[in-house]
Amino acid sequence: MPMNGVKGGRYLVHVAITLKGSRDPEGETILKDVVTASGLSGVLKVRSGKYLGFVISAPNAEGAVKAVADLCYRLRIYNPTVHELLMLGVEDEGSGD
Amino acid sequence: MRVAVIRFPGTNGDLDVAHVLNRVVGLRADVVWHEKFEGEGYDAVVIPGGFSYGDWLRAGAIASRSPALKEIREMASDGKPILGICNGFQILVESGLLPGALLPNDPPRFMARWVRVKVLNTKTPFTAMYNDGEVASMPIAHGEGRYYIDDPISVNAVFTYHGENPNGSINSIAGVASGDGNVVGLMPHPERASEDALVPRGHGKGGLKLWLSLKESLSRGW
Repeated sequence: MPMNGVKGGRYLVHVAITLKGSRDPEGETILKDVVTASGLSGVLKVRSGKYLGFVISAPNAEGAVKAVADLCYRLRIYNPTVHELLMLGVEDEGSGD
Repeated sequence: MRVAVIRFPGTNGDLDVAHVLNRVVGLRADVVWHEKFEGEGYDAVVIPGGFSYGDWLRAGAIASRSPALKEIREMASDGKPILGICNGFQILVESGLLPGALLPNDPPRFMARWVRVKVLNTKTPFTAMYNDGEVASMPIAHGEGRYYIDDPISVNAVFTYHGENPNGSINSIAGVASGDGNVVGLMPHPERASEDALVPRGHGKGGLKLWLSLKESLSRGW
């Protein structure tokens, strides 16, 4: 959860939710019918997923990433049975005041 | 006997379900806005199909956090019949009332057509009047109906697709029940397969027995 009142900064945490294990027909179709069909070779796999960005106040970047990972798990933003949560990165957005 | 048909923003199967319950099989059904729903006074619940909250996050994911689901969870633990159709099935899975997950179809497109399903479990309040192994026709209309579970043997499968598997579901599973059998979810639409006028040539009104099963089960005190 956003740690309101905590002295620190404002961070934008980028996450993506992708399928793990089971078939990914959207990614497979993009690979087959767009990438490979265009004549490009060398692309072996395309993974589809959903992007979310969380702006959060936290003491530091590491804390922001951890808080977002925790809330994504706890609130079932992704379904751990079928999805993998990718932590894509974090940006310092300043004090947020 | 009163049945609540829950409406979320984006639900579109509510009036069809209420019509079949009220006019075709003669149960009393009310369409209830999810924020107003209280389980007391209802003997059963149907969560109909549609696109609740525009399928944001995942189909059914946001509706599954509605306070209505708390009420439905209590009714489920009291053993009352709970049915989720299509998006309603997705909501029940997202809420954890039914196991597994419903993923984007394989092949990856929206499917709207009539299919045949086989009834594997007749010990639920929604299937009691089918014969074991009976094949019933119903239409499907969904983009995220690929049932997935790590251990498909563990699941109480109630319906499987008969013949073609239209969406890549594991073991062709089209519908499942809770361990007690009182919570059932399925991707096909029985409410669109309960009257002759809606049934195309070559198919039958395979959904009618589901509603008659509910009526019979409630009258026997399920």
